[in-house]
Amino acid sequence: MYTNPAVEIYGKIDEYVKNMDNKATKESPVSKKGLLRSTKSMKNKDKMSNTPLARVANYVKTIRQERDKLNGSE
Amino acid sequence: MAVNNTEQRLEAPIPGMAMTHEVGARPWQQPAQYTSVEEALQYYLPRMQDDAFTDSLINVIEMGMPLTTLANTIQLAGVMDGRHSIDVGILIMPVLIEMMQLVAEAEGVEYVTGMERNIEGETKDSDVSAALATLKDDLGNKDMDGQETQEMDIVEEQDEPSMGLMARRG
Repeated sequence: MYTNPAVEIYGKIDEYVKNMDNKATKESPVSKKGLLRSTKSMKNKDKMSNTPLARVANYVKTIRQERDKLNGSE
Repeated sequence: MAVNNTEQRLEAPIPGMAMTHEVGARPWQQPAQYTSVEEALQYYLPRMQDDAFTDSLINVIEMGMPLTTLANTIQLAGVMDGRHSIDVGILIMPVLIEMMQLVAEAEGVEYVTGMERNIEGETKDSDVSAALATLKDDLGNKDMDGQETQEMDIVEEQDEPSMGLMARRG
């Protein structure tokens, strides 16, 4: 049976964007300066943000912000 | 049902049809024109903001076509034209869906994403299973006498001699 892959990939990206939003709200300058800050190299993190999935999630997030602006202005 | 199956079989590709052209003669057998997500989006997004495209897109959305189906069709057409690979096509689909949602909301059109839960269907399924469970309970509690008379009738019907040409005699 043929299934549309768009449903699955959209669900994954949607989850990714929501996780990005949650991380953005959780992060605060205090926690960054704290003693529990990880000493791991940030190289891996940079690589992760450059994956195609992360880039697509960023595009989706940008368009979603435009949609929110549009709906908010109405 | 048999008629439908025959029609489907007739519409299927003939074995070997894919080899009627030399390898590389088709656009999708050539290296893709756009190899990254960014390049593919630079191709699609300006076209999606075109007035002619927007009008036809709105018409299709108003007909109730799910956005996921539209996005898949658009990217498949891109693959067939040799614009990008299937991988890039799959990756750009969420952006295409978001863009179509933006266009539809800007035009004030209601749309179907294709990811909505079919609550009516789910309710029907649970209703059917509940009815089946009730029916089984009813059958279990049924009077045994009634069942025995029915079984006897069936046995009597089977005992009647067969009058066919191949029937045993004596």
